Parts: sequence; C-alpha cells; structure tokens
Amino acid sequence: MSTTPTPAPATGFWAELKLLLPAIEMAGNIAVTLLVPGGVGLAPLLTGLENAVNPLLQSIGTQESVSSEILNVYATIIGVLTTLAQTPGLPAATLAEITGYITAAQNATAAYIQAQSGFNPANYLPVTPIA
Amino acid sequence: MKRKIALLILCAPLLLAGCKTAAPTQPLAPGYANATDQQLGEILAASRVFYTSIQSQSAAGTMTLTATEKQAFNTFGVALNAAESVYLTYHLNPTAANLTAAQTAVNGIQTQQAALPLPTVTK
Repeated sequence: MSTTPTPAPATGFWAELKLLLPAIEMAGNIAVTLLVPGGVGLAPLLTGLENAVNPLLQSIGTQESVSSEILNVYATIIGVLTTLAQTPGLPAATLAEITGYITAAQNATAAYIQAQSGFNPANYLPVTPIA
Repeated sequence: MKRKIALLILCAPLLLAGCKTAAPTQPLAPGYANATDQQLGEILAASRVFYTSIQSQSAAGTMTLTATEKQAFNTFGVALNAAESVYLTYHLNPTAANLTAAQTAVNGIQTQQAALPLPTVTK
C-alpha cells in the first residue's frame, strides 16, 4: 500500500538534539570541533547519524512497505541516543533525559510490533494531557 | 582447484543476487480491515506509546519537561487523539474518503512527532 506522500522533516528533533552537544563537550572533555587535532569527532558523528535518519523519516508514507522504515527510524533514534548516553562524564540530568527518550522509542517499537499481531482498540484510546 | 575456488568467490555475488525474490507480502493481522488499515494502526499505536511513555516518565519525575516542552507534547497529544478518531472512522468504514482523511492525519502525526523537542538539559 502507499500512503499519501508527505515528507516528514525531522529538523526540530535533531535541532534540539544538537543542543546537547555543549553539555556533552563540557562534561566529557570531548572536542566537537575539527580544529582540535586528535579530538573525538562527535559533531561529524551526529551529522552522519542525522543524515542517516532524515531520509528514513522522509521516506515514511512514500514507500510500498513502510514497516521497515518505521522500525529503522525508531532503531536509529535508539542507536543515536544510546551512543550519546555512553559518553563519559555526562551530567546525571543529561543522562536521564537521553535515557527517557531511549525508553520511549523502545516502548514505541514494541507497540508497533505488537500491533502487527492484530487490531486492539485499546491502542487508540485518547491520551490525557501531561500534567 | 585454486582457479575453481576463485571462480566461486567471484561468482558468489551473482549467485546471491540470483537468489533474490520479491518481498513477501505481510499477511493481514486479525481485526484489521485491510493492509492500509493495519499499517496506519501500527503507526498510531507506536506514536501513542511514545507519548504515554514520555508522559509516565514525566509523572514519575525521571524526566523533567519545561513548560515549552510540555506544551509541545500536549499539542502532540491533542493531534494524536484527533488522528486516532479519524483512523477509527476509517477502520470501521474503510471508504476512499475516510482513507484520505486517515492518511493525512497519520502523516501529520509523524511530522509532529519528528518535530517534538528533546527535553532541555540541565547544565
């Protein structure tokens, strides 16, 4: 099947993700600039991962089978955040936030796979606002 | 003998390529009206759990959302509820018009989810 081809830009998510870089840099003494010889190229790493994810997000709804694309998006997000979480010296608050997103993406992946086993009306109950 | 092995190695990719078959069609899971119904339902189910997972972590205090972030997630929640309603309409009555509405709603959810902000890091 093919859904209406509406590309889904991921600029907001990744723009916010990049805001984590200064904190990571300070905490882990990781060089994020290529001007530092021998420094760990975290920024290029993120850029590479972002480039990997964006086409996946934009492909949603444009392919005959989107199942693999959806799972790839969640898996890549988990991979990116897991990599960030393993950065040495991360502030506890930073780690908590990253872990929270990893958990949400993992749970979403599980729900997606679970929904493949059959229709469950409980999956579509209205959500309540976050207090 | 060496020549035969080398030939096998060289031809291996061709042999593997020859083994490629068309992607199997996923069987329709119980309860869904059709493949599109299932696909849209799977996407919404995942998005809902993504939201509720963030919500529960916020309630538990393991994740602190700023007012701006909370507003973004709550806006997403409102859109999610609307999309679920539109989807359920299509699920129960899979007409072409309902399909268009459901696809538009689900695509909108995906766009909004991708644009959700990461919680602010306490520096």
